[in-house]
Amino acid sequence: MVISALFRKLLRDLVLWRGQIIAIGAVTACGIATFVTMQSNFESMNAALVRYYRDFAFGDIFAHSTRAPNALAHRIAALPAVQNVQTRVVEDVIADLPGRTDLAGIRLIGIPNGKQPSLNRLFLRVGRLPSPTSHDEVAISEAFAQANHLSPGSTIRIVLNGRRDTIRVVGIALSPEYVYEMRGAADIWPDSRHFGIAWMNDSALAAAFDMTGAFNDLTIRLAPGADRSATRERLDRLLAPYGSLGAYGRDEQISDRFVSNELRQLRAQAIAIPLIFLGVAAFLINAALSRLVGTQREQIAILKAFGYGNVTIALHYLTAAVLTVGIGAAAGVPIGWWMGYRLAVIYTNFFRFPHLAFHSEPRIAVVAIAISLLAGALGALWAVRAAVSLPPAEAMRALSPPVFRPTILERAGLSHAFPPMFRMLVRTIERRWVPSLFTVIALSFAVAILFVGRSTFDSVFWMMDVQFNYVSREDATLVFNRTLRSQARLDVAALPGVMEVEPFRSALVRVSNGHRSRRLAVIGVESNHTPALHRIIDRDLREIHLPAHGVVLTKALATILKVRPGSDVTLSFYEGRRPVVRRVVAAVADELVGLNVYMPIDDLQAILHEGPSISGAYVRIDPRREAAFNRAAKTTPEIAGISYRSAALEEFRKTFAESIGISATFILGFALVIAIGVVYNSGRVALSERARDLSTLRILGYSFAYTAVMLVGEQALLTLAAIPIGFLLGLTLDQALQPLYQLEYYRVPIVVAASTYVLSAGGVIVAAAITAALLTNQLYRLDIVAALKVGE
Amino acid sequence: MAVEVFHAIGLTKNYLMGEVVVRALHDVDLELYEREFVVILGPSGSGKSTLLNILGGLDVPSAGDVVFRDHRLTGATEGELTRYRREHVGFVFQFYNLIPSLTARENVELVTEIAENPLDPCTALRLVGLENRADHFPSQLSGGEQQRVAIARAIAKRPDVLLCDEPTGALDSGTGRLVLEALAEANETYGTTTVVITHNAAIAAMADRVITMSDGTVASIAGNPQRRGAAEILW
Ligand SMILES: Nc1ncnc2c1ncn2[C@@H]1O[C@H](COP(=O)(O)OP(=O)(O)O)[C@@H](O)[C@H]1O
Ligand SMILES: [Mg+2]
Repeated sequence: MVISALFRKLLRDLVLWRGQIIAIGAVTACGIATFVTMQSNFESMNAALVRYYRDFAFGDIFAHSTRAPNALAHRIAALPAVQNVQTRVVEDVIADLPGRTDLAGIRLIGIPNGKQPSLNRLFLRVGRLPSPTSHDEVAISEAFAQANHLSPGSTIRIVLNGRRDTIRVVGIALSPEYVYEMRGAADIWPDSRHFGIAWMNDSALAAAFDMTGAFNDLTIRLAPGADRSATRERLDRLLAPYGSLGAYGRDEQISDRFVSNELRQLRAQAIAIPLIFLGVAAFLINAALSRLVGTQREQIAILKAFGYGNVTIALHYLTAAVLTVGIGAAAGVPIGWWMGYRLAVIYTNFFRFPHLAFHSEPRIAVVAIAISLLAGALGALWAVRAAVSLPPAEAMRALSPPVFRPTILERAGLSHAFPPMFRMLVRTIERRWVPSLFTVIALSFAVAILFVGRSTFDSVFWMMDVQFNYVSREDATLVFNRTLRSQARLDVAALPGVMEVEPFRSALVRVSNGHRSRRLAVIGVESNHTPALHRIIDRDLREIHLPAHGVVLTKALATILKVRPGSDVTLSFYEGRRPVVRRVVAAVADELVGLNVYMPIDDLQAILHEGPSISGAYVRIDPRREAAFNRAAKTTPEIAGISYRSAALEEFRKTFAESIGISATFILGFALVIAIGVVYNSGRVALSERARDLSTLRILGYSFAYTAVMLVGEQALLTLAAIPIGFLLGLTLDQALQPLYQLEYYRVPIVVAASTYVLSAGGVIVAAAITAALLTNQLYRLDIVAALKVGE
Repeated sequence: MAVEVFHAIGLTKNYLMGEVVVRALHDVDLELYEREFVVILGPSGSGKSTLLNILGGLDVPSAGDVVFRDHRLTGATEGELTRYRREHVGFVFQFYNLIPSLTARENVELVTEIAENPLDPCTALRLVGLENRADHFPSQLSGGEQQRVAIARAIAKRPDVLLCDEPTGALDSGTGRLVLEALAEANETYGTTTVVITHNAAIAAMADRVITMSDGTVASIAGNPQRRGAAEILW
């Protein structure tokens, strides 16, 4: 009987508080939904990748050589721990796509005639594999097919070892080896319009390149738990006589490197963002519930006066808290699942995984709900404790101002310089500074959430801006099919439309410091002049001049190898006589993307015992003569590949907008809901705390507009105060989260775009405006006579 | 005789409580005059507050007409009622309704800041004997003192009418007497028409006229030829 009356009170209170409960519930729901969404998406993608690699037998070790006899495959298979070997011919060719003037590169990869390879198997999206006897049928990669509108039946003209030839598309396929389709480590971003994969029968490919009975590429599958580096070294020794270009593991395989990076980024986001959201939600639940219970001090006192025990009262409000948070969880978990699923669909397309595999561990939802419940329970208990610790008689008096002294304004003698309303506002805020401070903190969290949600992406955009506008200023990068004499630069310069040429010599190398090493291409550039196209820059975006001796490492590489300027590194070349040299690290370039070693071109030529020679060139092209340039480049057999900077940038922007942009948008959406929740809640509590005073003002003859401005003005002042604090909080959170985003290939700096400041402040201001409208409406409907009926 | 301040005809107020209609006021006719001190008596629920709130422009009748001087209150807009309250009416309520975050003086200033020809807040506080409590917050004042601040606040604007709803309802007799003295003082000093609702029939001795209400109607109106001071009242 007694409990049921109390329970009825609970239900009535909940109905009375429905606005605030919905707001708290929405904040909780957003916190939980973000957590569930991002965690589920990450786990799904991770599981999908593992499954993709397993089901399609992605290799463990990869190696290239100039030409090795097929018989060698048996000796490789006999190496300890080797489970499976797949040899093949791989060649890059220039393609002439129908209706296009620019050049595309195609990587032709051999497959056992008409059959799936034993490793790096293909997932056929459309069509079929080349028939066992065909010479010109290919399955092409899906990204390339889509970017260039190719489908089974299309034909592509290519230059096969100097001869013109045609290949026919019979299938569209995916491979775990090319989740990201990039030509080489020098590329910053996949550009599927200009580079793709075509799988064709190995015997046909070998015949076209005089490789019959031989291979130049192999993949190995190791027994579980095998020693990778030992196998890699044995493989290197076996391949050495055949022009080995070095063996490497998955960690150095370009596609896997990118996917892993991307997944690490997803994981970082899936930890960082929900952590902030849930943290903020927890804080708000706590703050909101404790203020809500705080407004019930008198009622608590009355209940105590009637003889209810503290535990009963605490349980009463605890139930309210649990119900409120429970409503949020009930909405948040399904929303999280749904959003996680949507996101997984987007990311599955983004990664081009063969199958969508969404799954969300129940554990994820349980953890999210537990955190929120804990926050809610603590908030309620905290407030109840404060209320029950007072003797009932004291608690029954209204909350009186804790500090009785003149406000700052009055002490400064400024009080009469301001209109009475402003004075009242400042007094109210200053005399009741604890709840005001609470509101400001809550609001600044809302600002900070928007801020962090946005600035994560500012950094990525800034990095790409640096990469594309400060480092890579060339319009195109040409890669030759072999090393050419230096005079070739004149031939490049003579191509129509070429305005500037910066030749380079790149060579595959394993750069190491002790046991730390990376296989990459060292780039020899001219040291006697300032590069204008492809520049090496420092942290302040100033150019670094290449010293006459020594090497310059990018920051990311220096970090991996743990070297500093002045340290030595060992360069083990795979070309020529495979020289091994030591060079001093002259400088570290703050280039943000990629692992690169730069050295003077003449030093590189000397190491390789060759005369002046180049292997490619950065060029600037007159935009009006691009077509002529492309036509000429197409007929130049020495050009084996070409990358266009603007196309890569374009591709990056597009991909970014499609995938990460979408997750950014929904993070912003959640952040906005949280902001509205916070502002509404604090406004609502303010209304309930001030209802009586505002009614009194109206009775005394103040207009409705005046009281509305009083109420909304207070919220406006608090919102304005919260904005700069929110910026600071956001920057601090960015700083704290930064380590999570440091990836092997990307050095992510903290960058905040001006638009992020505008957006995070604007979001909260919009939320405040919406709340102001809601509050004004509630104030309008307030029964002013009712305020006279209750004692203080 | 005296100038008429309020003229009410056929005032009716119905509250709809679910399906039940509560008749708070039923067909009340009433005149109030300048300078007079009127006491309204009647049992709880008889419609006293409803009547006072309608006179004060805090509520509107369901039927009937009420005119203040040349202002018709019935049918006035929200804004007109606000102006009416601001310019002509002083209120005193049972629960004082002071703003807890403002000092006694500031509570009075709340009114003087928007009134046209107000008293000095100190003068108003002196009138209720609280000049040396001006900088105290409501929570630092006793109930009687708080109510006197409320009276100072009500008279500070020099209202035409002072409407008091059970001003002594929450006070003991001694304190209540001080409050009534303050009201009588204001009535005498400024000639403000004063209406006081009370349960306490003894207070009627202070009045020029006594209106007795019952069941939403005016049961009787009696003149009081021998008006007494608050000090003389037997509580
Ligand atoms: N807001 C309201 N809603 C419903 N009924 C009301 C409301 N205000 C007053 N009443 C009813 O109107 C009647 C008269 O109330 P009131 O004027 O406050 O009486 P008094 O002041 O004489 O005690 C009472 O029966 C009361 O219950
Ligand atoms: Mg009453």
